[in-house]
Amino acid sequence: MSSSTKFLTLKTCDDKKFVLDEAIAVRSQTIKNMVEDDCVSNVIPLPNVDSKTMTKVIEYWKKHSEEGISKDMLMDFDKAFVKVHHSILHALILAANFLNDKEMLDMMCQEVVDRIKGKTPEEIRKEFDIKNDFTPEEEEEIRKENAWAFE
Amino acid sequence: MAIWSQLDYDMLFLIGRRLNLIEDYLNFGSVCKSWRCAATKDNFNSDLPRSPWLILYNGMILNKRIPKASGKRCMESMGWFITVGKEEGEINLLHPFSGVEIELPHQNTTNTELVENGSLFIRLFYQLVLLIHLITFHGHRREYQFRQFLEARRLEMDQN
Repeated sequence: MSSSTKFLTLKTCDDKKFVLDEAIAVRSQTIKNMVEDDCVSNVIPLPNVDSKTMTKVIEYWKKHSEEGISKDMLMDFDKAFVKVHHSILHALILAANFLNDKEMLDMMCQEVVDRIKGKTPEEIRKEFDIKNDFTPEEEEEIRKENAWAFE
Repeated sequence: MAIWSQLDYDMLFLIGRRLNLIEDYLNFGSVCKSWRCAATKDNFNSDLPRSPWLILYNGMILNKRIPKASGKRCMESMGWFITVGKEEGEINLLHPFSGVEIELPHQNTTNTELVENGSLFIRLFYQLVLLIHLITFHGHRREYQFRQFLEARRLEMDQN
């Protein structure tokens, strides 16, 4: 790293601080805009992200900023990265959305999609711990509406 | 935990846009009320790349067995199939979802009539296309009217 490397301090909602190379932090469009608009004083508050999630985000950013890393290695990293409990996946989607990192958000949404594919509504609910809030009548209505595709 | 049912519409939208199989998309919209709001017909992404052996239906994708089309050449038009059978000249219109099949005049017959009575055939053809169009927009419940229409045209052709 050259001597001109600038560091940013990010503060998560649980008051943990992360010092990060600006060149890496600007993978977040939100942070990039703040830097470009000169809105950055000492600490950038991230009110919507907790430290556990931010640690994962930074792990991802650092890996994807590594010089000379091969495509295959990144693919392996990504594959392992998304294999997390659905609650962490959820937190990462919210973080990627707030930080406005489209690449990361796309990857997270794709993982959700992969967990939905080929499953029945009940299996999807189980996968993501979702309560069925339809009445039996509503469910029957939906079933009828969708019947054409499942004949 | 109710975190996933409270996911913002924007993100549910992004997820839904990545589901290109209609069965998956419908199941996605059947999970809970908030997910259902994101899984509307309009939000279905018909621009995703799809495998060529799947069927296009109003821009959606369905992996469906169609026994009546088995072994036949299929051309798609406005949600209907024009199937050409192994037997010489056998042409049918097939609606892949209702299974309604309409026999078209045998190709050999049609060819002669095309020469002898070209304008009528072309008129019939255009009316057929128009009707398929109408049926696509009004649903395949109109199949009976459609059959009646075809029968009437066939009689008209016979009389000429």
